[in-house]
Amino acid sequence: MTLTTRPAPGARTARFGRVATAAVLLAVVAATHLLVSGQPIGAIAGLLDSAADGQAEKIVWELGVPRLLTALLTGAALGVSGYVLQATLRNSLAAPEFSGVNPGAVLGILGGLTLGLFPADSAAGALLAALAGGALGGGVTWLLSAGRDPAHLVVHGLLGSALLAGLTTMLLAYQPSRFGNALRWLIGSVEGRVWEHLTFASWWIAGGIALAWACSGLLAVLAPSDDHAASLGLHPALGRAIALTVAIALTAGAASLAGAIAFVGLVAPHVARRLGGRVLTAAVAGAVALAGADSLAQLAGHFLNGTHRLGVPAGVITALAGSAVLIRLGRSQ
Amino acid sequence: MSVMVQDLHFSYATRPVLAGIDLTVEAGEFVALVGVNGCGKSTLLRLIAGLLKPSSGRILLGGTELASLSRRQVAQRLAVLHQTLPPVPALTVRELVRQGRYPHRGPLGLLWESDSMDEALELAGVAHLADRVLDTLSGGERQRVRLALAVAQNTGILLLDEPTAHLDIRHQLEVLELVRTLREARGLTVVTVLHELDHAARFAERIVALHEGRVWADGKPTEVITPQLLADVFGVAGRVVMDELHGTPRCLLDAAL
Repeated sequence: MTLTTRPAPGARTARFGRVATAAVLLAVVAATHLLVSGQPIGAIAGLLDSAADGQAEKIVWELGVPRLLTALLTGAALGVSGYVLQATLRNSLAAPEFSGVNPGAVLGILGGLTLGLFPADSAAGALLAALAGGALGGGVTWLLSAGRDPAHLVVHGLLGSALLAGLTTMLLAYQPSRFGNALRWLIGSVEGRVWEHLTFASWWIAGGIALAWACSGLLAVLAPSDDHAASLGLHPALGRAIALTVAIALTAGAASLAGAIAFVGLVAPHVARRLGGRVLTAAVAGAVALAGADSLAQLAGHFLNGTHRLGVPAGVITALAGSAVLIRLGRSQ
Repeated sequence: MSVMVQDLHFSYATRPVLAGIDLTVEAGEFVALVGVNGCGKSTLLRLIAGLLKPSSGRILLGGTELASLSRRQVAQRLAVLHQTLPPVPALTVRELVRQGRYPHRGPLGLLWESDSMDEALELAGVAHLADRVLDTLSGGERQRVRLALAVAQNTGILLLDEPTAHLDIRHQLEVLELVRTLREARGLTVVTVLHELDHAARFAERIVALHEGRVWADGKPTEVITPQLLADVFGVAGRVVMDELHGTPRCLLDAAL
């Protein structure tokens, strides 16, 4: 019997097409995001010219670009985290915000700030607090669902999330004067992040995404069932622990930058799978979704200018758009 | 690769399931496990696959103690076709079959294509389905794809738990014929749980009948498939006739006892 080895014709072209599409999409979203900031086009174009150093250029470089990067990084982190959670917990409704991880991370940040464990502008402090809180949130969910089918974890994740949200509310009720500052963490916003916030978090998130990508095989083997994974040589519990750790790390990284951004982590993995993609597609989908949502948030901010002193947080847009997308997904299935 | 089971006991909590099983399957043999639901045949398969820990007794794969092998080493020696493969959204045939390389190349190995995967797709006759989403395939096609995964795993032993369940008769035959083909092409040792006695008699060289946690009969189909087996193990009054064309016994079932 002769066996022909087929070098999947067109596979390389298809991959190139994907990368090119992703790059174009990211570039378009990035340009849009910067343009709707309201700064003159000349100042944005000036970014490409190292000699330009006017006032407008400075604003774009020190506020606009970090805000854009925050949106892209946070979106990518949430997209990948959601992808990992959905594959590992075998539930397409699993998401950072429904697994106790995201509410835990927010509770960690607010708790840390309230107790004065770290200064309000400390990026590393926020990340550590988000990590501790996220691990606590994931742990609560884990304990609630101990010994049950991982697919049921989402129900317990919702319970755990509600519990943690309740704790956060208690924390705020205890010190109502802090409510204004807490709002950005509760709703989720990418505004007001500067380069200092980004340096550490960007490495953290990039590392997390790289790890998740390296775990692609593990996620694939784990996705159908524990028996399937075990028969292919992976200890299901060990694989799940590794994957969930990566998801918690990424969610904490996202929360430390932008607080509780909802729905990106739920919807981006769906988009990625529909496009036949995996971890990296989920990253791009999440990044595009949040940067796009923040562009809308900035536009809405301009319209409300004068009536409202604060900008519109991106978290509001993702919550609205995300629920609309989710209803569509639910109906089409 | 041979499979040896010595004085194997197993209980779920307090309910004993297997009470002293001795079984030796030589390399390259095709053995069918038969018996009523709950007789322990699937449990025995899971024990051999290392997915359950025996209460006592030993299992040897190719002469090596199963308990001394890591999960991954076990997966390099035996492939398992479980009764069901739960659906995974958007999983393609190619992606599933590629997972057969996991035990050999580890998690990072799946990021790149491999030649042995194409070979497995060809051998199982599913190369034309490679880019289809698994959930869109028929039951028969899905079983062929899952057999391609087992081939890609490149093991000496293949364990199957009711591979023909929920298939229509044509696909039942197709799947068992494919198992026979793969066994010949790869020199596989095959141990399969089968519900249909006629299929067991037709495709297996040896039938092991389990009853109440013990081996009730073990031998060639003509030796094992008897009216007494039908009565004592399955609780059915029946006759056994010879199928002249294939030289295998066939059951004619008359009444429940």
